[in-house]
Amino acid sequence: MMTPLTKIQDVTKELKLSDFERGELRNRLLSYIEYHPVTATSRTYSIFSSFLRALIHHPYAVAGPIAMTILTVSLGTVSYIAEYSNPGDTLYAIKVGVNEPVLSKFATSPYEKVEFETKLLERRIAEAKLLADSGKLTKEKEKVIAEGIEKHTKEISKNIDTVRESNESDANMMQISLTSTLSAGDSVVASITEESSEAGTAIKETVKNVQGEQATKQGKDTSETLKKTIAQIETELTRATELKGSISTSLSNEAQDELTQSILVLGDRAKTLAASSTTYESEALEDAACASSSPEISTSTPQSVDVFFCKTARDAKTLLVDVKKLIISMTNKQLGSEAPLDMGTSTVAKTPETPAATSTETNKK
Amino acid sequence: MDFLYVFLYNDFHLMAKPLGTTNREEKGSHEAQFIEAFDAHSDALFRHAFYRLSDRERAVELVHDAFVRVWTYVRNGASVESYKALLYKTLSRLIIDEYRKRKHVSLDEILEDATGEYQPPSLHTGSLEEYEHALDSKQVLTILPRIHPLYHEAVSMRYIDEMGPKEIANILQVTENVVSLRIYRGLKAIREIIEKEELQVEDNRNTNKS
Repeated sequence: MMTPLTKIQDVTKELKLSDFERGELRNRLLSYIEYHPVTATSRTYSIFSSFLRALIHHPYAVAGPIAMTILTVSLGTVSYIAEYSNPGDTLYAIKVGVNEPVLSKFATSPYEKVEFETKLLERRIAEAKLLADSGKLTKEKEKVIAEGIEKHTKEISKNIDTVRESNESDANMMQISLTSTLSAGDSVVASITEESSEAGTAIKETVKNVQGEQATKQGKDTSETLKKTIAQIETELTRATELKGSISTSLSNEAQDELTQSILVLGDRAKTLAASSTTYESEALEDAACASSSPEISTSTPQSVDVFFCKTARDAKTLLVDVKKLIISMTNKQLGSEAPLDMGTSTVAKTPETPAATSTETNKK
Repeated sequence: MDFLYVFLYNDFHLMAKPLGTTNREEKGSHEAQFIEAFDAHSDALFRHAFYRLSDRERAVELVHDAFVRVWTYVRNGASVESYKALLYKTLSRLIIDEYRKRKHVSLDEILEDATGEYQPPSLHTGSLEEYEHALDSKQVLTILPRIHPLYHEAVSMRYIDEMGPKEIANILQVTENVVSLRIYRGLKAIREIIEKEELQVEDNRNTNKS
């Protein structure tokens, strides 16, 4: 019997998420919300609507809002232009001396400060790449950027120490994130010094120094830290997608397609890791001692759950570095670089190994 | 003093931050509204994704991704007038990315605006109504994935998601005229595929007889 199109709901209404699917989705989202809470109330207003609001609530003070609006528009314009400046430009002093310190005041919690300072650290690295690509990276500008990298790394580290007093696993995750940013930065700076042996040496040295300092602060890999790292990867991927939107007009169609593909591949890797991480719920892994290098995983002989866990933890860190590299590259583009985007060399999907057999060492307790 | 704002550029976006602190109650209500939106729309979103992708697992994943993206948007301070519209908008973009990943269709082809000089009949003229009553829903559902993605999207939203042209236009950020045109062309394309297949069956039957 035919069901006309106007009655298509009679056919489609039966299709819905199963109870299991809905429950699992809901739990995943609740978990995501827990790790990514609303940070601050900030609303994007047009300058005009803010002025209207002031007029409506305080109509007696007409001259005040008008003067304020003119001042705001002027300062806003300067502030806007300064955002695109680089070391050596006239407005760079406003960018680092006014915009950034004022914005940092609105980051009230150590979590927000770490997030904010990390973005500034990525910006410094992107500025170095931009200047190097355009042949404008002088010794003086290198010094300015190197000092910025050191300053932001110190700020991040200080706030991580504050978080560590109340939440060890959050602090560990933030330390991983900082290490990943510095690794991504090291890779970007290495490409600068490859092209020219003189340019970028001061920045390279600074990055190596701060990396060395931070390496001693790395905590243990636990299943809790792994989950938080994966949540952080998802946040960074969302950031990458938003950044893509802001630079798409300056990219060719092919570059846009390639960028979308890169983000999708990184997203697939993240999903695979997330699926693997649910295997490691055992508390016994709290004491897993993960070595710095990745052992060869043989599928022919049973491996301990610890070995697979450590490999998953390392894969998560590698993925975070890859996402950060892409973000730095897109930040570079946002600052006005004409160089092509660096999509990263390790964006090929990697499937983490899964435990081949249960281990006799699953319970160390 | 709630009119006192500081205008700043953060990450190349203009922001106006009130000179105050965060509102705990407002934070709590964000989560509640978000989960409410999940409970209200997850099934419909899943249905929409499934009929566009014909892949249950991917449809579930994309629904998850859409909610994650919308939460990030909310988390960064944006106010949401309609969760439904925003979720559909986000999901549609994810589905487009999925098409590109699968079929390597160029961005231009997917986002090609289907407006032309032809002015479509309104939804109350004979030809569209004729399609609505002459086409069988089950047949339409199997053929939908074979028509142009833009028409597929509009037809799905109109008949499966039961949205009006105005709502669809708001989600897709096009005019109502464009929505009507895509729906009409989508149904016409489906009708043509059905007629072609019926002719094929007829031809095969005649060939077997002879």
